Amino acid sequence: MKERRNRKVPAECRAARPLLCDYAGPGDNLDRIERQLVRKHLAGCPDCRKAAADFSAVIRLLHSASKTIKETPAHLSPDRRNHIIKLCGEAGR
Amino acid sequence: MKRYLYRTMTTESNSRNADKLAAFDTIVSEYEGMLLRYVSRIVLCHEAAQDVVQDTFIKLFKNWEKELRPSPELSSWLYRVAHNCAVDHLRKETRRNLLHKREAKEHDEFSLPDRGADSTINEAAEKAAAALRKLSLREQQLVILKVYEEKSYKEISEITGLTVSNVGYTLHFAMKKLAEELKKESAI
Repeated sequence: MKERRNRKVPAECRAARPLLCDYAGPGDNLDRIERQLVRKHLAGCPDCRKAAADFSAVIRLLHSASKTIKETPAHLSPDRRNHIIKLCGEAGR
Repeated sequence: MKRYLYRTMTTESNSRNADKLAAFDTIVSEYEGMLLRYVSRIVLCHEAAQDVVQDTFIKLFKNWEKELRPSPELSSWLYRVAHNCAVDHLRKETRRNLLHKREAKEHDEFSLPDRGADSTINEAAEKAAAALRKLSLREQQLVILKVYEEKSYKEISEITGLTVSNVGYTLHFAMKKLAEELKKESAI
């Protein structure tokens, strides 16, 4: 939040920062131009480089955390499903 | 003649409802897993997640006016409504002052299993999960959609109603908070 108030953040950092999470993450959601922009910026900006490395570490940890929780059921319980279909069947009449 | 017409209309109406229900059933099968996974991460209780997903599907049946078939638009709608239902659930739960119950369930369903050889990794992962829960619900929503559901900023924007650049900025600050918290906890 301090950073939000800090108007002295360089324009290059302001342009690159919203893309850092995507850059650091596993998916490849940045287009070629965005990826180039981030790469070029990180090469010359230690602060953003550090932030990108931190984000990668956070994402890796969040995925580890996900693996350790009990598996979420992939389906609604049969009772629940029947209840939904029954209610919607009545509503549709 | 009138009676015949009415009977025909009624039959057509019944047939339309049957078609709609069949299409709806397909939608439930297609999206139930995705929604259960997403909502469970917010409400931290599998039983509550079933309630929330049930409410979401009922709202879909009542409010969706277009053809019921899988699409990115329908998927975004479901994420959005499921999130709102999950937030409502958490608010009601808070009002009923049942947080202690939630914590007990949380401990049961969302705590780590055996530690053992991977104890360091598990401890850090536990800290990451705890840090995520400290974020605002909006920030949690964005992190969950980005990190776990691997949605693009554009998809997150469609789900949340935020602009794409707002998604990027909010995520950036949420990730910074997570990193700071995890550094404080010596997890990264």
